[in-house]
Order: sequence, then structure tokens, then C-alpha cells
Amino acid sequence: MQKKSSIHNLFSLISYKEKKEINDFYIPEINEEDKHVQNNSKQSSIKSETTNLSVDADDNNISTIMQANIEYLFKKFNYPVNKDFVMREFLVAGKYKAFIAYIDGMVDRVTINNFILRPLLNFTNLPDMGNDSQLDFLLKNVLETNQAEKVTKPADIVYGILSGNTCLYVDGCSYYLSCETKGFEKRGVETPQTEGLVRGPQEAFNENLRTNVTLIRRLIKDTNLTTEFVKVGKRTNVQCAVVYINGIINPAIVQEVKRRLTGISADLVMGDGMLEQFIEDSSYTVVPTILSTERPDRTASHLLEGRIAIIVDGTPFALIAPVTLHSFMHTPEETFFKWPVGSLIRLIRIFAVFVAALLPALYIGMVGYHTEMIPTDLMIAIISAKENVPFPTVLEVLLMELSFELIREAGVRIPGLIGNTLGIIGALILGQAAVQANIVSPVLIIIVAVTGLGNFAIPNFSVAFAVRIIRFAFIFGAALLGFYGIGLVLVAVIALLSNMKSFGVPFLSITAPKTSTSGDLIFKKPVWKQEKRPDNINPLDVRRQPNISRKWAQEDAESEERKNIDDGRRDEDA
Amino acid sequence: MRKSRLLICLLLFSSLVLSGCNDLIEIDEMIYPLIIGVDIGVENKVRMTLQYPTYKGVTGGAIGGGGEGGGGGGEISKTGELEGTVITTIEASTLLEGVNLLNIAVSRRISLTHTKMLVFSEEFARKGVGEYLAPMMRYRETRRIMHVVVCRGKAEDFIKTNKSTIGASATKSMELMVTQSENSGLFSKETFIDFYHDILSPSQNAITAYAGVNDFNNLSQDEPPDNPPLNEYYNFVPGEVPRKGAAQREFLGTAVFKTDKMVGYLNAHETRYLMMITGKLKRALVSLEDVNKPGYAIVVDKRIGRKPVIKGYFEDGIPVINIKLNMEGDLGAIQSRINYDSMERIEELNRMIEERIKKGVERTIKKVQKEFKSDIFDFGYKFAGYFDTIQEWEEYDWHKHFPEAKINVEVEFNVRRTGVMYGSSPILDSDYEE
Repeated sequence: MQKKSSIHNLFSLISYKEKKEINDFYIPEINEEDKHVQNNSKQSSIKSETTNLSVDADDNNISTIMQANIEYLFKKFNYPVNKDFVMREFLVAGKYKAFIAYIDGMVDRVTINNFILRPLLNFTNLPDMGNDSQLDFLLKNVLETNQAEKVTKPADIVYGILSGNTCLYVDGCSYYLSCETKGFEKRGVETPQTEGLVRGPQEAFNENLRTNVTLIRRLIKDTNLTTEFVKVGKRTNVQCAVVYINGIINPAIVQEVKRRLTGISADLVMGDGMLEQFIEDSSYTVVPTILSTERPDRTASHLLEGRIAIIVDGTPFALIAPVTLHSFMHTPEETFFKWPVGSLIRLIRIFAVFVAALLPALYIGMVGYHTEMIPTDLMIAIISAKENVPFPTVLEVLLMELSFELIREAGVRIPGLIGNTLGIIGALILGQAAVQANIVSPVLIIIVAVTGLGNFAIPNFSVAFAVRIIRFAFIFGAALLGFYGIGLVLVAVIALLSNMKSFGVPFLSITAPKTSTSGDLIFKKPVWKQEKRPDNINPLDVRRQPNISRKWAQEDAESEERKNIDDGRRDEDA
Repeated sequence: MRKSRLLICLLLFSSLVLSGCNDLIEIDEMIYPLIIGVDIGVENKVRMTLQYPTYKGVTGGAIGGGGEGGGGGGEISKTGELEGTVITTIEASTLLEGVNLLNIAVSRRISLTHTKMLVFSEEFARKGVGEYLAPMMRYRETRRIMHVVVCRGKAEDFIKTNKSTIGASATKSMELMVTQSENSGLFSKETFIDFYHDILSPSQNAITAYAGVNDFNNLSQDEPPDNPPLNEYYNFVPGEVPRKGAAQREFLGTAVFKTDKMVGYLNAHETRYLMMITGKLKRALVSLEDVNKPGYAIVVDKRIGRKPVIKGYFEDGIPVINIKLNMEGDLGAIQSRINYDSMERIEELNRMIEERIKKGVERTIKKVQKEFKSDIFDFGYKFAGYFDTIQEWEEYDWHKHFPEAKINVEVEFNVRRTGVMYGSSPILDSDYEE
């Protein structure tokens, strides 16, 4: 009996099984969307809020007694120990007890002194009209800050204080006033570090969320550009801006992104890299499924195609979803140049991917199994150079690849200028010396160097990393079974890639499954011919521009026609 | 469940790891003979000669550039070293066994994946090569696109002169030498796979390039006569061409096979006609004697204009072959300085060349039909269609009927370009005949 079951188990591993129904997220077509949105909204129902007056201050209620609120905040911010928290009590108009609270360093002192404290203290004739409307009056007439709002939930005021707002409370009220006084140190807008361009805008995101959203808004001056904020991380409480264009993006994507963001129940979410790992579809693959970019223009163009951008406060990157493999191979450079140039750049880039992934493996396969493929003269040259090298080719390749990776890693870690120098010196001297010492053959140095170049030509850093890892799988396959082995690994890689999804979009879509393209996949059409948005993300508005987007060209043609007709008439008259 | 899954993965993986690498042979653990020569053996069936590189050139590329690889630069040494290569000879019962047998002395595995040329001595070829080729064909490593050559004299002697006179690479020299067939049409080239196919084919017969070793003693030492004759026909056999130079081996003409035995050869001139019919002639510079002014030559750069149209049919049971050749060419020179390039006389020139070609083609086919009885023009394929099955076609035995076939040749020739000169004016010399 035992034996039978083990055989059964064995068969169950390799036999076909009915696939389990998983409620997989997908982006609905536009006409079936109503149904889907309802489904999605069910999953993320928002708790209806209840407000009731109370005396005790706790996580749900704001007390009408000032002392209770002060104690609540003290407790919350661990006050006497925590020196960052500042609370100042004073009398508004000389008679009403009040306090402001803020975190030192996060706020702009000038704003607090001149535009909150001074008006409140100098103000004299406050009409007596009930506690709650008193604060209302202050909000409307006295406070001189640009942003100030009523906050009725203790959690919100705590968050407000944490993010640099100043909290104002007047005794007897059941809510706080949150005044915008953010004033911490931040970096200016600088040039992109990893996505530099020859032609095109030279600004990058910085660590400030507001600045980042503004950078996008400056490029898209559209009322439909919407920014929603979601807090992520139980302790870090990082603010995430979810940016999209209403009316273009498929609402299901927005729903799904917000559902995933709010569904994160983690202590620490720092920056886009961590957030990416929390919300991505396929965690066990080396290839990223969410695009991370530091360029506002690139983000804007993706938003206009109907994608969503997530910007995490504190990191100079925007996460863009859903994306396909093709998006990782693009840069804004191609769009800024004329289309033939753009197409060529992309072809070179695809070639670079193949070189970076396959070249060492192809070399091993050719030298070990398929010698008849090498031109005889070259083969004799390779052998002559390899005569005194005592290692098998695979070992040589691994040795060189590893030392190349070592140089690269060291180059990144070594500070500043020395890093670059080390890269060049290391590669040159190590390679030259290795050849002279008969540890590797010179052809191999070329192979490894070209592979490295190919890797650097891949525009996305994450994909470049993925290719570096996959390369070793190819080397392994080639060493075992030659080109057949490379073929097997290639099949496996493509199978894995086509199985991946990015927010419901198949990772290789447009190519597989095939959808209509926007004329901007590998070969670029001229910009005025790119009339449609990518089909695979089901945007609400499919058309980007009408068939004739250059009206003047049509006018030219018409006037030419009219002229011809006129000429014809004149000829007839004559 | 999880464990057993892991186990299965591990087993599959280890089967890869343990069985893989089995065929991997490091590139430098092998030697690659560049040329194989086959002679009739004395103590055993065959005597084969191999030439392989010694890898002694430090930078590669140049195999023993400038005598670096031993052999004293150009001359073959007693140990068989020649310009970075080694020539070695052994007797064996078959070719493959001979390759294996060499490993008693050669320290690396011998691989035939880079062999450029297979040379048979004429003596050997006339006895029949089929039984030796079949195992070579079956062997995975044999390079299918190596060229087959029949040489006058011994193949061993031919290989001993096989060195590069231009550049350092013997390989390149061999590869480029064979492609000269396309440049001149003076000798045929045939790859191993085609050769083997032709031997077995019921519809055609095989050819190879014909080669020889020139000892440079053929230039006549006599005083030149006052008026040497204009000899249109280049009727030499390889090895006897009057010339001097560095490279001793020379390719000229075509060796003709019937089944797997060599039955004769076509000279350079006839080879060109053969290549015209098979549509392989890319370029041939020929000097024709001017009919209107004997003793003077017209130099024409001939090539095939359109693919030759060959039709075959049966008339009273006799196969009839219609050949339509469309040739074209450029004028190289008109020594007689007759204005053939004018619109009036260009047709006259065309007719003149057409006549020559027609005569040449007819003569060549007749020679092959009569002397060799071997269809090297691939005419058989035009008749195979008249038979319902291959068996019937094989029963009909084309090789028996080819010699009785009737041939009609039709040639069209057009001069396309007259060169960078229009018209020719006479050289003003009182002694010059007008």
C-alpha cells in the first residue's frame, strides 16, 4: 500500500493536473470594466467612520479637554525621552488655552513664529461663539499659513506632526488644526545619475515627494493628472504618491495598485526598491516586473500611455507599472532623436542583451563541441594562443567572468575617483598579466570585455543584473551540452519570462501574446505616426492622436491640389 | 511530496551533469588535418598523407610565419615539417583506420572537421574511390564541403608542395586557390558531398578538379621565332604548363569520373564549356582569333547572361537534348583595331563569338560522349521526369543511353560593355598594315 502511494506520488509529479482556480488579477477590457470594478471595490471596502464626542483622548477620539490631548500626544511621542517633539502652550487672544506641537527639524521655524504664533498671540477680539466654531474662526481669519485643515482623527494629526506639520489645539474643541509648516533640508533637482541622456531634459527626481510630483505635473499640465497618497509601512509610515491620469488609465489598475499598497502589513518599507518587492507579481524571478526610473519625463510619458506611477517619499525614483520587457529596453533618448536613429539605438541595445547573455556560452560551445563552425585560421590562432594555458576553457571563462564581476563590484564600492581608475587599471593589468602568465587565452579577454560592454549597454540596471545572472546559466548549459544546452536554457528562460506578469499584463505581451503595437516597440515610427496607446494595458482612451496629427501637412496637400486645379482651369481658358 | 520532488529534480539534474561534458573535447587537444592525400599503398590498401598545423606560431594567425614554426622556411625538412605544418604519411587498409593509426605517433586526437581538401592520385582515382569514400561519408566529423581533387603523379608529392606563397596561412591559401575556379573557369571545383552524391546518382556523373605539380622545367629554352603563333586553345595538362614561379602545385582542367572511377580529363578550354553548360561559369577572359584578321586576337570577358535552358525529350526512343546558352561579355581588347564596337559591326562580332562557343560546346559534349561515356553535364535530370518511378528510371540506365543522345546547341552572345574606350583608331605607323 505504501509502495503504491509513492508510485502514485511519483506519477502525480509528472502527470497533468487540473489547474487550481486562482483569482488572478487581470486588466479588463473597457466594456467589461463596470463589473470588475465592482468586484475589486468589494475587496477594499473602506470602514465607515463614526464620530462621537468624548472626554478621554485615545486612538479613536479627540478629547475636548486640552490636558487629556496633551497627555495623549506626550504618550504617543514618548515625550520627555524623545527630545524631537516640541510642545508649546499659550493663550489665544489672551484668554483661550491652546498649544502647538511639532517635531523639531521637520518644520520651518520662521513660518511657525511669524505666521502661526504671532497672529494668534497678537489677536485680541475673538468673538465668543462656542468652542468648535472658535477654531473655525481662527482657521478662517487668523492663521496666516497657506495650508491649514481641520483634523478629526488622532491618527491623522499624529501623522501630520510626523511629516512636518504643526498641530494647533484650542481648549474645548473636538478637533485639531493641522498647519503646513514643512521645512526640512532637501537636495535640489539634479541631473540623472544612471539614466543620463545626450539630448533631452537633464533633471531627475530627488528625495522630496512634493518636488517629485511637481516635476511630473510641470510636464503634464492636465486637470486629469491625479495624485493620491497612500501610507505604507507600519512604523516607517512612508507616504506614497500614486500618480495617474484619469480618463486614460484603466481604473482597474488604480484599484489594484491601491489594494496592494494598502495590503502591505510590514514594519519597514524604505524606498522604492523595497516597495517594489512588496507589490510585484513574480518574486522568484531575476527580472524586475516594475520599472524604476529617476526621470520625470520618462514617468510622464508612461503616465500618458495609461500606466501608473508610484513615488515613495524619500527616494529619487518612480515605480511604473504595469510594464513589459520592451519598456526596460527603451530610454527617452530614442524619442528625442529622429526615428531611424532611435530604431538603430534600440537594435544595438537588443544586440547588447544577446551579447551580454550569450557570448561566453557561445564561445564555450564552439570551442568545446562545434569546432567546425570556427573559420580554420581563427581556430588555429585560438589554439596557438591557448597552447600554454593549462586550464579547460570553461574554467578560464569562469575565472575571467568572476574577476570581471569582482572589478565591477569593487569599482562601485571604492569611493569617488579611485573607483573609475580601479576599473580601467584592474581590467587592463589583470587581463594583460593573466595572458602573459598563461592563465587565460587572449581571445577570452576579448570575449569577456565585449560581454561586459554589452552588459553596460543595457539601459536598465535591474535588467542588466538579471542578464549577468542568466549568463552563468548559459555558460553552464554550454559547458554541459554545447549549443544544445544553450538552446535548452534559452527555452527555459523564455518560458519563464512569458509566464511572468506585471499587474495582470503578460511580461512579453505585444510580442507574445501578440497585440497591436503603438509603433514604438523596437522599430520606431515617426512620432506623428504613433497614433495609439499600447493595447496590452487596455487604456480607456486608445487613441493618442488622430490619424492626421500634422494638420499643416494636410493643408499643404489641399492647397497644392487647389493650385493644380486652378492651373488646369487657366490652361483651359488659354 | 516536497522531498520526492526535490529528489527527482536532483536526479534529472545529475543525469545532465554526469552525462554532459562527455563529448566535450578541448579545442587544443585535437589536431586538424588541412589536407588528406590518398595514394595506392604498397604493403596495404592505401597510403595516406596528412598535413596539419603545429600551432607553433606564437601569435596564432600566421602559422609559423616566416619559418618560425620550423621547416627552415619554405623547404620541407626531413621530419616532414613545412612552414608551420607537419606532413605525415602512413599506410592503412582504409582511410578512417589510417587516421586512427596515426595516433601511435601523433600526440593529439585527429579531427577531420577542418579538412579543406581531399587529394587522390590519378592512379588511385582510375582504380575506383567508392569503397574508400563510403565510410568517410558515414563519419560525422568529415567536413562535407572539403574539395575533392585528382592530381597527376603522387598525392604525397602534391601535398609536399602545398605551402602558402602569399601570406603565412596555408589554410587561406588553399581556400582561395579553389575559388580561383570562379575567376577563370580554367578548372572545376567540386565539394566532397556533391562528389559523393554524383558517384551514386543514376542521372549524372562526377567530376573533380584536376591538379598537378609543376617542376618549372617546361618553359622552352629555344630562341623565340620571329612571329610566334596565336594559340587560342590552352591545351596543357596540369604540371606541364610552361611557367616559373613560387607555387609548384597547379590546378587545370577537370577530372571526369564514370561511376567511382576516373576515365579521363577535360583540358582548361573544355572545362570552360562544361561550366557554361552547367551554368557555373562566372568569368572567363578568352582570346579569340579575329576571323577578319588572322593572327590578331580579340579579348573578351565572357560570363553567363542567363541560366542555360536545357530541355530533354525522346524522339523515336532516342534522347534529344536542346541547349540554349545565353552568354554575355565585355570587350577587353581588339588587337586588329577593327571597329567592332560600333553599332554596325557589333552584331558581326556577336555572331563570330557565338559561332566559336557553339563549336566548342558541341566538340566538348561529343568528346565526353565518345571518350568518357559519362554524363557530367547533369543532362540525366531532364529525362528522369519521363519515368514514373525511380526504379523505372534506374532500369532504363541513363548512363548507357547518354552516349547516343542527340545534342542541339543554340548560343546567343551579347557584348554588353566595350570597356572605357569607344572605337579604335589605327596606330599611325608606316610599317603597320592597314
